[in-house]
Amino acid sequence: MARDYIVVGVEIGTSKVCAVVGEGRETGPIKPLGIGCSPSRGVRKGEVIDYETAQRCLREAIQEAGGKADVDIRSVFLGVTGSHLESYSNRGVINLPDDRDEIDETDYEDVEVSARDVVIPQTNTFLHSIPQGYYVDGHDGVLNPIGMLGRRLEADFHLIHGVTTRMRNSIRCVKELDLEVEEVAFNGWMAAQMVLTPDERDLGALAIDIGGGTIDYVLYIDGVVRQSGVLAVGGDHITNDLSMGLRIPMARAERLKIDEGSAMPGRNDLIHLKADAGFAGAEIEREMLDTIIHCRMEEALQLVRRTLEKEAWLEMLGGGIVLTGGGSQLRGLVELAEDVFDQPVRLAFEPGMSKAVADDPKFSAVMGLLYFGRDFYANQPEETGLLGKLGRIFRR
Amino acid sequence: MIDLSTRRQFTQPLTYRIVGFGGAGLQVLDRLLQAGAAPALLVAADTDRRLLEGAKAGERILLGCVSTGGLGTGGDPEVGRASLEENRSELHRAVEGNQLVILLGGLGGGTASGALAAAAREAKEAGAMVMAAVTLPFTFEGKRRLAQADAALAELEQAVDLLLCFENDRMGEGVSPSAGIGEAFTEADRVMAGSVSAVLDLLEGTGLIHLGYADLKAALPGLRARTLFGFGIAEGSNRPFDALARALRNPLMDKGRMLEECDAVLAQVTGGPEMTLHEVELLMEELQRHVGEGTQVIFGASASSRMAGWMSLTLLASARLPSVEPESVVAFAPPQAQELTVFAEEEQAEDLEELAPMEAAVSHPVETPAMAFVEEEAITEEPQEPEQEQVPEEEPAKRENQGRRKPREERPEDGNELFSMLEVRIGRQSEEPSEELEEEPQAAEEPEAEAPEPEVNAAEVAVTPEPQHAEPQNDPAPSARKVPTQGTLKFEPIARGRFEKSEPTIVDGQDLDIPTYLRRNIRIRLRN
Repeated sequence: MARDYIVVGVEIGTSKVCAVVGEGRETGPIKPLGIGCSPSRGVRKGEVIDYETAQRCLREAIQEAGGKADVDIRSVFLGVTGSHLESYSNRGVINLPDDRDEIDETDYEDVEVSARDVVIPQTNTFLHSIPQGYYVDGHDGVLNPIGMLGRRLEADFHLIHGVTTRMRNSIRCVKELDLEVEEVAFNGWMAAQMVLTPDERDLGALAIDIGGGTIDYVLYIDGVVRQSGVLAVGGDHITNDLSMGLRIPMARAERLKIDEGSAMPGRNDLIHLKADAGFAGAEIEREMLDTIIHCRMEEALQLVRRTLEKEAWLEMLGGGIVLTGGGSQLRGLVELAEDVFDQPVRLAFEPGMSKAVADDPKFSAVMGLLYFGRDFYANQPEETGLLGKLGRIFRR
Repeated sequence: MIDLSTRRQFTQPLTYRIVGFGGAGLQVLDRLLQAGAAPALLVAADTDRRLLEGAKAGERILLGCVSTGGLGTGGDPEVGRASLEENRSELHRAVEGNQLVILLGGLGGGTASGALAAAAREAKEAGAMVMAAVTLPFTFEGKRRLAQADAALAELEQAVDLLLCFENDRMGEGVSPSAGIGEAFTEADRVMAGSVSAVLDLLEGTGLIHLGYADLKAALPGLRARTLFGFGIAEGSNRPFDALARALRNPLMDKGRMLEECDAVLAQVTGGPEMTLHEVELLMEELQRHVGEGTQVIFGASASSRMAGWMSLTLLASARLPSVEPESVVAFAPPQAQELTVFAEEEQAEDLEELAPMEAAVSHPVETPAMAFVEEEAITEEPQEPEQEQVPEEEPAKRENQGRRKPREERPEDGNELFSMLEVRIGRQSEEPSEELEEEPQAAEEPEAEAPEPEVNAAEVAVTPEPQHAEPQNDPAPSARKVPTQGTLKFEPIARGRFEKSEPTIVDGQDLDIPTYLRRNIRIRLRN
């Protein structure tokens, strides 16, 4: 029986706080019903630093989204990011008990536990264990081990973990608004799932989500996540650099970046900034503007490249690189990324292609959350279905 | 003069005295006693008779009995200075015959501020290498004390071989806001005592991977460098991370930000016998993230039963000070030079332990046996002489050098690159010292002119991993020779704009919150 799912995704980002209500079936696209978005304050580098302010922004966004979708939002899926997130891949191994040789659900869970059996700082907890591949009695290429016969099950996982308290700050922010947090997910992964086609993932592709406070990246090779990471540098840094370098107020720097900025210096003409309250106006050489942006973004992309170079994965990117996030709208960024990575680069969504929420790079992560949430509900046991879980989140 | 060569250390353990000056110094001595230091190695010196009577050190010197009547200095460094003059000979006797003298004190008051620098010079005259560990006062202690501390620090820097300097203000950050004021001071004493015993452990201990004075010195290339020190100790299952976090939380580390500027970082890990390789691995991996890519990590490990259940990390490094002529240096040092250095350094690190001459970290870095005696005589007579007055001493060396260099300039390797101080040092340590002698002062003063010379040396080191070490052994303790020009500690704010108060983003030792163009030294033209 096909079920309709109503899913709410929330992202407390550095530049914006947004909530999206979406509706979809077990498979197929999810239709956004309503979106609430308010400029974010009290968040730096993807993490809440001013609790009350951030909560106020979140409340506005939730109310707006709920109102537009005509849904009383009770529970949400929350996207998190931040420099504290770390990841690595590890293999879990279990041997089946002597009296059984069919792999079942419990073995599947055990092998995941076994993969997580590595030393991470005590302060951290695991956010995701993303399966990469299974081996039954040493044979690889197993897509779903459940039901197979074997004595030994091994599985590779990509594990993402982060500092517990820092993740709980965002969760608490939501919970205090009397909302349930169903599940927490890494923004970068959500965005990557949203913007990379299955073909690209199979060929090997890198998704880079350039946000206000962080750059989140996820690398797919052979259809599975091989590497992920967060660089706590984002659009905010560009604005800050511009404000400091050109000696203009932060708000003007932000405007200037969006209206005129480019990551590839070329032209040199003068940009006139009109006087404003508390600002005498200024003339700015475009070359300087673009140089500052270029330096920052080039460095950031180089840092991403360097983390990937350790494993020669860049050679395996048949699907190229996909840029998304609000920061990806920066002019010249695709050219810059091509220079840095020496790989074909595309934008997840061509600017001006569509006005739909689903096609706005800013909302890649939160849209990805909707799919993540939908799959989460779909995998829930039936009995909690309509009556239980849905009843809780979805009351008109 | 002492010879601190490791060869001698094999037969004879390091001898040292720890001298605490003033109230803070005595407190730290007490801490060290609690930590198990032998009272006989400790000397308490104070102008306050009452405080001194309470001290448990093996030897006590009442400074300025006549001038202060044993009532303290009243916070006046001049009184402290005069008091030391009175009891100079007693101090001399107390430290005589030791290889290392460690001076402790809290700057800002009268006793330590006035007496430490003079005491350091006295200890040097007594033939010891001198290390000082001092605290700077809390800001709330008032401007006068801060100014006194500042002046004393500047003087002290010129007089010691190794300086560990702690800001009380920063150490206060490690104390919970609700803690009493006593706890803040205690924390400061604790950090200082911890660091002193860590350095001693390093120097006298024997480790699984042993680090000795040579490594200490390698981590502290000396001239124009500031010393960074971090010490962290932790127990429990998370101890590698906690120990590192605590080490980085030490004031001088600035949460690890300072490490990015270092050429070399010395890391000594000490743990109980149960310490696993994995733990060490975790710790070192984590540490690597805080240092720059080219930074050499000199690593040592030791296990001892008295550390059972605990793990400690000692970090010691020196950061380059902004050079006098940074642009010219950069311009003359192409990337190949850097790589070569790392190679040479590795060689050196291996050899140093047994073989390297034991020059003091901050000493005048060059010597031939022959020249050294001449120079040394001159300098031991007046060890406090400011640097400029030594210039005439160097003149003949330079001239001789000009003549000698001619044939070498024909070598193909010549004339390519300029080496920084560190690189020069490497070349010197591994090559025949006679040839190097003259290079050093000039390299410091006129980088362009001397550029080709050190390059040759380092290149040769890279090719010949077995340098000649016999000669440097004859070298009389150079620590007493040239007054070290350890730079002043600068804590100027770094421009981070709106990220000023947020947690820094450090990747490969770079603070990414500082605009990239600033870090890359790109000049921004402004129209108005």
